[in-house]
Amino acid sequence: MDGIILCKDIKKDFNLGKETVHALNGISLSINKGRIVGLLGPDGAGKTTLLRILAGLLIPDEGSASVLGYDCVRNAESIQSVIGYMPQKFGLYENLTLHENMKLYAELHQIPLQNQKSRFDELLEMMNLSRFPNRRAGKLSGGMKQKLALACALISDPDILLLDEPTVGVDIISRRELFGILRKIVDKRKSTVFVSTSYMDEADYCDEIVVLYQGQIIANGAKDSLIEKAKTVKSNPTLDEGFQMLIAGAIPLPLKRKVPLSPEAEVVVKATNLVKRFGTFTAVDHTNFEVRRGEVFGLLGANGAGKTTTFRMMCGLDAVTSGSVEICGLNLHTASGKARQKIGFVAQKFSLYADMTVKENLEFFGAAYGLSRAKRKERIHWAIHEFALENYQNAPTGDLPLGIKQRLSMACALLHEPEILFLDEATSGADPLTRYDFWRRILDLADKGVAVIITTHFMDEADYCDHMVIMQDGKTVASGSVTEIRRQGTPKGAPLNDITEAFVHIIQKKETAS
Amino acid sequence: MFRFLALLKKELLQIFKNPKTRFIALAPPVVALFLLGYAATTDLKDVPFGILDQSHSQESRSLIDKFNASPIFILHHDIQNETDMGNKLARREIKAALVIPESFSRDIALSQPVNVQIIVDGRNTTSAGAILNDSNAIIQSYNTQIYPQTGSKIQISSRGWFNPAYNVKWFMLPALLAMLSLMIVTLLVSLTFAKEREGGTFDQLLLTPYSTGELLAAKALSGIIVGIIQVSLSLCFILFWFQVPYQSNYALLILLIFFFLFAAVGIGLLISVHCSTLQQAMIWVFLFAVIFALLSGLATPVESMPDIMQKIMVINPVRWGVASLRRLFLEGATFIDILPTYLILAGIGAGTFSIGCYSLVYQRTH
Amino acid sequence: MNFRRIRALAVKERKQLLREPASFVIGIVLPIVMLLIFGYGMNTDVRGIKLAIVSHESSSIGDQVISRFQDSEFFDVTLMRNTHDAEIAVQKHNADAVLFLPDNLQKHFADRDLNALVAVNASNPSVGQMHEAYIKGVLMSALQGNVDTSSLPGVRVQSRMWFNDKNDSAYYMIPGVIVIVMAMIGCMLTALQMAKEYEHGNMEQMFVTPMTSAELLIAKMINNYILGMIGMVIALLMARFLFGVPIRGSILILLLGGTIFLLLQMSFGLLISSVTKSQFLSCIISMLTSFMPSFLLSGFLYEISSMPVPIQIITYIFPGRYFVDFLQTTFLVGNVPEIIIKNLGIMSFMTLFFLNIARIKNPKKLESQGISV
Repeated sequence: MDGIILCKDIKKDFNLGKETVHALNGISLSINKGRIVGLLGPDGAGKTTLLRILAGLLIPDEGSASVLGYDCVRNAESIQSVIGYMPQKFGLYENLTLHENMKLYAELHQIPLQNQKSRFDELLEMMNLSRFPNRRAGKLSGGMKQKLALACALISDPDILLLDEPTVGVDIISRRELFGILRKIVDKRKSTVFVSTSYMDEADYCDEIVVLYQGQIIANGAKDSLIEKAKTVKSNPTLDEGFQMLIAGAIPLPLKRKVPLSPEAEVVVKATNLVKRFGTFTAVDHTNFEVRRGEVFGLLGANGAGKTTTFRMMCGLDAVTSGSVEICGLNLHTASGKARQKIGFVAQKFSLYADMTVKENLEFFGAAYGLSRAKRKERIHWAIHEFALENYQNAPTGDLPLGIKQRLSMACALLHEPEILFLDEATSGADPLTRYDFWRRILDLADKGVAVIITTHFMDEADYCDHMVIMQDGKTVASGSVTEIRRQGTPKGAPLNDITEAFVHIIQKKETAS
Repeated sequence: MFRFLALLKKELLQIFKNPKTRFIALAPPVVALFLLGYAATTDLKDVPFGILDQSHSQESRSLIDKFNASPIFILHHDIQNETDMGNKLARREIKAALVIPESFSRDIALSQPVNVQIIVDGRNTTSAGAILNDSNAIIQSYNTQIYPQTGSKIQISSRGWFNPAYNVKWFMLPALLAMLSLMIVTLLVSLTFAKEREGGTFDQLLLTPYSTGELLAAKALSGIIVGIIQVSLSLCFILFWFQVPYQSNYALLILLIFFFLFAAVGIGLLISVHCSTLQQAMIWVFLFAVIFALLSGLATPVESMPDIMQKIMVINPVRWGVASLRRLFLEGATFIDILPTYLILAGIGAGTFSIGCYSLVYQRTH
Repeated sequence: MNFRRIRALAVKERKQLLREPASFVIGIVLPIVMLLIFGYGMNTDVRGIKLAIVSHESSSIGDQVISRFQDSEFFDVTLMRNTHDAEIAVQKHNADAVLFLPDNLQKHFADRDLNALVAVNASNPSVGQMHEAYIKGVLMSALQGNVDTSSLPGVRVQSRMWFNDKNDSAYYMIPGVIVIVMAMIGCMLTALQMAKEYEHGNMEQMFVTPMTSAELLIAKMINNYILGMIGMVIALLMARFLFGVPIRGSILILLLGGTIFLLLQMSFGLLISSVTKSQFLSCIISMLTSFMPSFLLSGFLYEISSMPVPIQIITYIFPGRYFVDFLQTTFLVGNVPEIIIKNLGIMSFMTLFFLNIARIKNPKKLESQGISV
């Protein structure tokens, strides 16, 4: 093996209370110079642990690793002075400006003073951040922070870049931009990029992929290595399907609504002229929505488009500056308690009580929504069955694997049989199998008449929506069914774009117009 | 009602299921109380006391014997001269010194007045004052011993009511109880909010049908319950280990603890509603706790503070806690005696609680 | 060790410090507030003692005694006829102390053979004792009246309080405050800042640069050192000019001592944060191991020699006692070589010890962060 990143039989365990978690279980790989290598895998697969070992931040229990010929244990300091590294919680100092953050890393890497200015300008230009060098990092949007963190990691012009989930929670456009930047660097400098992600479709941007699942490599090599096996079952499989094939040995049937949305279904969420201002900045500018019973309603948009704010106003987490939200005819302001009784909410980040057990969490949320003792018992019984939580009832939720946590979050949100379900990037970081499972349940609920409002960064999930709204700069820029959106997002005369391209087209068209 | 109980149960589970919070809720107060119960003493003992005897006589020795008999002083006889004494004082080898003049035995024999000097180290004025008092008393008793007939028989005897032995622990321990429980309970309450915010559970909670008042009330009540557990633990220590007597009705004590905790929790809630991060909450709690503790009457009497500070410190629950605990423990106070404290503490609690509640409602609707 | 990197890190720390209001609360507001509290709020001056005088009959000498108390600014006198009323008054806090004048006072006085009783509310013993001393003093001088005691035989005490002739409690309070303030800036602030970097993931990225642990530690300490020294200088200026505390030793030696103590506290703070890696735990632990001992186990409020032996042994572990000894002496006595060398020597040794552990405990590894895959 002659790769510049080498791993041999790496094992790493973590002790979690009484249990031992095998974060990495015998990882061997070799990465060659001048390539973008994607480290794919769902949350909890061991991606961060592997990258930290390569960066010399963790010591493997067994096996050895080397970067550029330096051993990751013995020569950690040598590695750390030549690589660029971007951790998942990017190490930006929020109360320093863009320029000050970059300056700090430039000094740490001892970039000669006379070269610094041109380097900063070049990087800011590349990241499209030149407009505000003196803004504090804390005031940047998520996508901009990611780019700034990348700029800091690139300051020393390293031969190797280790990036830990740089695209998590970032919209498709910023993701493309980011990979575009990486590609430019690799082409120009012959550097090597090892980047982790939980979005399978990002394999498209990589030269090679390493797919990690439960601490083991399940596929390694060219991008096609993931879908090879799936090709035996289906022509032109997606990367998700390739993953499903490798793990489950089968590709599940595409999901379909059993009961299509009836056009005269009653409106249960009605947002009229929603406006949200933060000081002089208008985050949401006169938006209107209607969501019907049994409808799956998708709220999409680039980072900072006002979609999160809209979502939070619709479920009553943020107050509206003007306009109104009605939930089943109840004003969210004047009858907030009653209105909240009708909604269920699953947050992007796991947000149940980590110190309490699964059962205790269910008990609490059941009682919080005022279910009587008998009803509570019945619904908890239902939830434990429906979400296959039998084996976890008495485990503290904080220690559960991500998939189980997501199931529990759903269970808690559904205990009181809400009429409206709000899902805020609820599938973020989940593997394709889990997402499939998740959507099967969502569509089921919609069939039963529950209105579902979701935000997501997985464009393929848009296909499940009955109605979509795309937001930009606080305004609705496109709305309609998936087909309608695709039509709106296709230039005149061209063949119909898929939903991802349509989304990008709509956003970029508006951007150039303004 | 059962909805509220579920919320309360959740709050308690959150505190007690997490080893970190369980640790700070229970361990430090007890450790601190134990340590401070012994350390916080103003009774002198083992004071190194220098003797510069320039008389070297029978009489001077009998005066020195008087000092030697005192349990407080440890005599150092190796003082050469005044310079040496000065040096030893400066180096803290001795804390005080007695200088007996050459003429001592002659003056005593001639029944003339004679002056001895007592020099104390003024670096710590409290203990310096105490040393002077004790030395004066020794010299007085020496006088009555050598001049039993001529000395005036005017005597002033004294008695310390409620605490005849002037035992500092009896005062200090109940006072510390108030100080420590304020610190810990305020900190815990303000941290649970910051924790919900950082853990993302705050949004989830806000989306349940609970009203703002219910959310705050459950947090407050759980804080009070934790406080009661912690205070009970400390009380056992005070009553059974340190054996401080309790002279009043226990119901009055329970009521006082309840109102005191209510005020502490209210302050914690008020701070936490206004702080978005853990660090901010901790620093503000700390700042308030330090100010409240210092100006509580624990170290120096409230009555000696400037009037303006006394007025401001009406809002200091530790001050009321310290004063009333002392009355309940030692003075056998009645309900009427403590009533003003109850009212003030309830007022502090209700005030902070409603401002906190109002702020949170405001934050939710704006 | 690379000075350029240290400078870059130190500049970053300075900017962060200036933009974070919390550090200002600890660094600047707290010292001033504490000094004002200690200087003005915390004194033991006796004023307005509520004294009940119980006398069953009136006599000229009795009236003389009563008027002595009434004329004194320290007392607020109530006259009572029976013991029971007095007891009630003390319990209701209408009286702090009771003076019982004996029956047949006039006759006893003439015989110079009388016994008066002073009862004080001793539920706060130190206050009670102080009241007792004041009452006895006034009563004694009232009863002895114009009898010239200087010609009477007997031993008389001439007492002097060295280093603090005015018996001013601010003289010993102020050095104590400096200890507490510097312990907080040194230990708690440093620990919180460092723990915050761990929690926000800044450390992870910093570690993957050529920077060494030592450089990071030095840069962290430079700014807090400056902040701590500003705190100390504010305290010194307020002590000297606002409260009139003399500074008899050399200012340079005081600053040297402050430097060593601050370094010691900072290295302890670094150690705490590199072990806990959590702001919450750092706060609690630095409160328990730095703030509280500086307050209570340093000899500033309570005499160490009066504590039980096991507690006395514990005080040797905490640096507060050395710094309090050093400060009180250098402020009030002057440069006493033995005290300076002993205390600064021990503190320097402790500093080196903690710095070394912090350096060993803080290699660029994340092992103790546990699982965060």
